[in-house]
Amino acid sequence: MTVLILLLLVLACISVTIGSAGLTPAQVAETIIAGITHNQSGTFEEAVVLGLRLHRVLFGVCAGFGLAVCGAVMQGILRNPLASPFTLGISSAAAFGASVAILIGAGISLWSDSFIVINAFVFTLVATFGIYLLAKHRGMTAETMVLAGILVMYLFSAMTSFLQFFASAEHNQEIVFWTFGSLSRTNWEKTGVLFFIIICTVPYLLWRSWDINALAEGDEIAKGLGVLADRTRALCMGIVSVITAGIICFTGTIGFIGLVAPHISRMVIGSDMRYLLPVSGLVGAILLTGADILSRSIIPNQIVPVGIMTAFIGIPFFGYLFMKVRREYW
Amino acid sequence: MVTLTAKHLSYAYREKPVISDISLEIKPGEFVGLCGKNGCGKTTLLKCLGHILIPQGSVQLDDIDLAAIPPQTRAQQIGYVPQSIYGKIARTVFDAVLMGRRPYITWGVSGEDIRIVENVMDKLGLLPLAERDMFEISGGERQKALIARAIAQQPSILLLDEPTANLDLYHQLEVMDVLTQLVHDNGISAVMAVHDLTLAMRYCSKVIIINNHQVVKIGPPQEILDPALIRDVYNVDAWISSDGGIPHIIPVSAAYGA
Repeated sequence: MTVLILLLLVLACISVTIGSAGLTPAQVAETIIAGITHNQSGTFEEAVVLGLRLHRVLFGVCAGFGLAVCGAVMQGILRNPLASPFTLGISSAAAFGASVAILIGAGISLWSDSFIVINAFVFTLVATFGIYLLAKHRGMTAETMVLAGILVMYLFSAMTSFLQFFASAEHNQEIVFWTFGSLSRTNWEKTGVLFFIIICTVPYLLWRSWDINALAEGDEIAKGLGVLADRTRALCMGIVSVITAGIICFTGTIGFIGLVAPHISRMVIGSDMRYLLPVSGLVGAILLTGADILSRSIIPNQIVPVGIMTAFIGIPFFGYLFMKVRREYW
Repeated sequence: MVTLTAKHLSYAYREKPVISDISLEIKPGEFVGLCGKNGCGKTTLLKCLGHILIPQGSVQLDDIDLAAIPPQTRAQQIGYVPQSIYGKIARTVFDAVLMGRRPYITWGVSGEDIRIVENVMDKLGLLPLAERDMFEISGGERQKALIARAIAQQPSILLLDEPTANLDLYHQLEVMDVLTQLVHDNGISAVMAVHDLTLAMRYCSKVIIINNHQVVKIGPPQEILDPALIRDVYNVDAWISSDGGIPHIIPVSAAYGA
């Protein structure tokens, strides 16, 4: 755990330092310290580090942490190694919401940006509610929720494609760019909102980790241990979708982390949620921060959307453990 | 210690009745065997008694309806051991047994919890496996770990679904001896669904025979298990021997078409 935290800190420092402004690590450190001590001077360094980079890095850390925790919780309560906010329709609902907003709020303005965010957030919750309703009809088992999630994913993907088919080239470009997932749209307010969501929800999920552990072994086991299986699963799904919504409404779809960070962690430390949740979170934060560094440095003076980079950085890491660790883990 | 009373229990899967209008009473210190052929409703009855499934009718602990007891408190009173657990969980045997303490724990594990878990694992010979993963061990060892977990719950009533199904002869006797001792020493009661009538005859103080979704006979096994009943319920001709002082049932032939 300490190693992970140190690694994350190092990556975060690198991430704040690199960029086209050509600032030295010492200048960056000075600016951050000045910022913390409220000794602001309105310099170029301040504008770059505090105005552009630092919130982006912090948002990336929070987002990676949140997505990975969501994936770990979903894989546990749904007993499915493929469950993640991306595979169960939550992300595609957000993409649909954003597409609708992009098409309706045609004018480029501040208002349109918040409209996209709000719409993506709302549709994410709509998707979760849809999954809930579909699953409730058949009983809240892990299997019905996974199937309902996949239905919802295909439905929203189809609806997004439908919109794209009729949209202008300009709008299409915007929609496609949104679905790549990017940390470029962050600011301090968004980082604050996300931090608030994470702080309010993750401790609760951690507190319920005994229950999630029990659910991972089957509903009968969970009920026998005094866990209200259906209610706990529905509640956790709700919380997870709020976290996911809070992240991807600002960034666009970042798919890979929620799926793979829990697997990487599980291979090393096992599936006890008391440890798996924080460790997955850290691994997710590391992956996203690493991907962000890569996305900003791989092509000079160009930022590749981070959503594209997450798989490039995550797969070698995952592949190495997959080949190396002989422990059966799922 | 508590008495479990079930009144007029019925349960149906998709309107197909699995148990119908079953009433029974389990007193402290009783070791009860639920017997009957495949699909007769043993497992469903067991689940209904622990409110893993919610039946029609009522299940009471002493005079309190199970539906009125919060789930966590219920889990402190009733331990349920299923036949198997879902899939592969990367969890050590120790952690798996420790989950039995969940009804008492909100977050932190106390020294008392650890002591109880170690004690149970020691009784069942699981301590050498403590740090192994649950799916590295054999099916029988896993079943013993599940039984250990339910015992670590320190319930007043243990519900066990075929607890010896995956066990070899040695471990069958070991588990049954531990359960018998637990029932005897702690005054708890145990109800197990069981196919092995010889085992039921040897260890159970009472057997409940289920046929066609209903209870057909309740009583001490030596008194009620006879060739006629076995033929009625299982369609098997059998004879009962008491060589060496331990009664055992020898199935002779299946009464096909009976």
